[in-house]
Amino acid sequence: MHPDDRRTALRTLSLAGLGAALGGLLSLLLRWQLSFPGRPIPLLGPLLFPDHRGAVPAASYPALFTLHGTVMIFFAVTPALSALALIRLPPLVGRERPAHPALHRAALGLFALGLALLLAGLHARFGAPAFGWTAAPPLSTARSPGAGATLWLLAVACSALATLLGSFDVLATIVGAPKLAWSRLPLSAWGHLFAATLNALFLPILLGALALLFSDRHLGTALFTAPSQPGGDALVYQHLFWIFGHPEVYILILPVWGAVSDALARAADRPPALRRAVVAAMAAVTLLSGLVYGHHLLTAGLSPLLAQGFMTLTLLISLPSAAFVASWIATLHGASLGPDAPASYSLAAVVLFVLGGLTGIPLALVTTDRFLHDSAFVVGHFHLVMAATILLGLFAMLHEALGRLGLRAPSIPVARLHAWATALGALGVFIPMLRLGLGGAPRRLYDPDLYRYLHPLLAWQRVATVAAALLFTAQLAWLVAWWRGRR
Amino acid sequence: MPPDLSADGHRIDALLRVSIGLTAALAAAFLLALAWVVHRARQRARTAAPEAAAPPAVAVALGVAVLVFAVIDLTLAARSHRAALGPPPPDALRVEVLAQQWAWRFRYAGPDEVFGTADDVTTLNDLRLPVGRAVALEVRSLDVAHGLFLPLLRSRADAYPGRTARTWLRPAREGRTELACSVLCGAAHYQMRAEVTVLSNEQYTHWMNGLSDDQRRRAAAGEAPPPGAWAWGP
Repeated sequence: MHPDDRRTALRTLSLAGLGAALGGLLSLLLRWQLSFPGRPIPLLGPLLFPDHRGAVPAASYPALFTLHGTVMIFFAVTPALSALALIRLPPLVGRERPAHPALHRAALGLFALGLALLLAGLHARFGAPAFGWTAAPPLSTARSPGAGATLWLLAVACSALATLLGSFDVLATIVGAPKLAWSRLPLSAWGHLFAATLNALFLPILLGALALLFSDRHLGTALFTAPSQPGGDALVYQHLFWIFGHPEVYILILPVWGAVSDALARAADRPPALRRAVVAAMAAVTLLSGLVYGHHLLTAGLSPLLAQGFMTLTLLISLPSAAFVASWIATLHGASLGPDAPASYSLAAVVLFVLGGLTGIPLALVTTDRFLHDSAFVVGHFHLVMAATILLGLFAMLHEALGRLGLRAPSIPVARLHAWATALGALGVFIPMLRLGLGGAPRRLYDPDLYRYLHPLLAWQRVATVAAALLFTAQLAWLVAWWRGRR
Repeated sequence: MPPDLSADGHRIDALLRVSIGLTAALAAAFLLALAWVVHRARQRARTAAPEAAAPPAVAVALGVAVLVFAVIDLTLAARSHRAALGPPPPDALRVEVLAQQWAWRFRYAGPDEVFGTADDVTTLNDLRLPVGRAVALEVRSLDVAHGLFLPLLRSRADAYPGRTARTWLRPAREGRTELACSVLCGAAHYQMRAEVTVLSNEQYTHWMNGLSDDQRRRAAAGEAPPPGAWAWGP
């Protein structure tokens, strides 16, 4: 690997690791508060919240989950995938270096600037941004005074621009490869290609939505503010955001699907089964991903016809998803599978993806979504996919990428232990969330104890918190094991 | 699921049970198939047994898997469509709900059944409903987006400022329950809750008459009716 690319990739990965560590720590604070509302957090509490006897203050709670979501999506998973594309892609398409490595270097600078702006926003007058990762106006505009929300906007715009630049490089690297044979393009490359395509299509919409939010905050417009301002409508932002926001899930998971397919095939020492069907399924998901966002608005008063349409399109995503799982099972059928680190991560990722994907079905149905919308069930569902499956997929990719970076990956037994501890930890966190949602627990609630009907569910909150601690510890243990044997 | 106090919530609950059951069955089928092929593959690696060729019917298996999902998807979509509530009956009790950071205001039209008149009854964080009668709710927001969520009455409507959200329900059992704000609306979002009481018809009439008389007395004394009412659409 070219030393410049190696440096860019290593720095981008380190930034993603830093983001993931911060996001993970934040999630532990959130979990503690939900399990032991108002009680001081052991060890960290007195340092973080000295004025509140070490307990999470009510006013800080929304800021904590806003930062958690923003960091995890825009400054952990996204830069990690950008770096892994830089490392993995050139050899997959027969190139020495990516087409435009300078784009990835610029992306690293933007990611770093964005993270710095986001963290600066925590110290802003009138407090940190506290409107969730979707930044819905007017909560994020008229009702969020001070520089915190503006810094958040700029930070996310930096990440979006960085991702866009990286995606242009991915597209140019694949499409411009001199001896490219599409029929032999590995599924990993297809995953990066489809994800980059979605980025190129939908990140400009996010950037546009952010620009309009900025305009509402600072240029005196009232595009998303009603009533009294003719033409303003907060719901328009919801459409703009989710047109990007739903494909974002597939932007993050398409490379994982490709990597899982290739890792299982390599471990089984045979080509991926039904390769063409998998490429077609990836293409179908890419297409559908832009047509299903309306399920985020099923309870926002969509016309019944529109709601039915979005429901049906959303359910259709299960067809290509079934094709992926069928291909993975077929690849392993009759094969011989020795110990292999990426395969272990991939298998764990498949288990979590099956559960995460299928739990989307009750959410897609207009009728059941009436009960489940904005509940802990939603949080459990998308974390099974976006947190657990993607984390395991990233480790499957990372395990090989470390070799290309000239670093030694942890041993196979360590990797297997880590993969299954991560999977168990994730199941322990997110399955209780599904249960909480079925019990009617709304998400983003600082103190669920205030509601009588939620009292019987407190034990599930505590199970999730213990499992979250296990999940976090497993990542720390991997980091220590890797650091000690890295050269 | 928490207890259901509504007459129509069973439609949601039944579909939820079916969809969760199917989800669990499909997950079990996939995971058992995966566990089996992985177990055999590991066994082959340990014993250095020869590999089996990929089964010729693998494309058929994929087709079947996709077809199963297509059938399940369409069945569930049709069931969801059939379970939809439709518009409220014309004789439904109408309640206007005004959401703001961080409280719920409920307005009843009073005996004349017209909103914005002197006999309107308004309450703060206190919604009382008669058992057995359909209740239509119109929800508006004064500031940011809020979510009206009645878990035990299986009802929900998200209110965006400048828009009117509509939902309706029919309480089937007397009792007390809670209304939660389900859309993040600021620092005290978690405190934006209201008490909901389903009363017998006699209790409800008694309560409503008491408040309405009180309201009329205040109007007679020259007090303006509480502001914030709107005219109902068709």
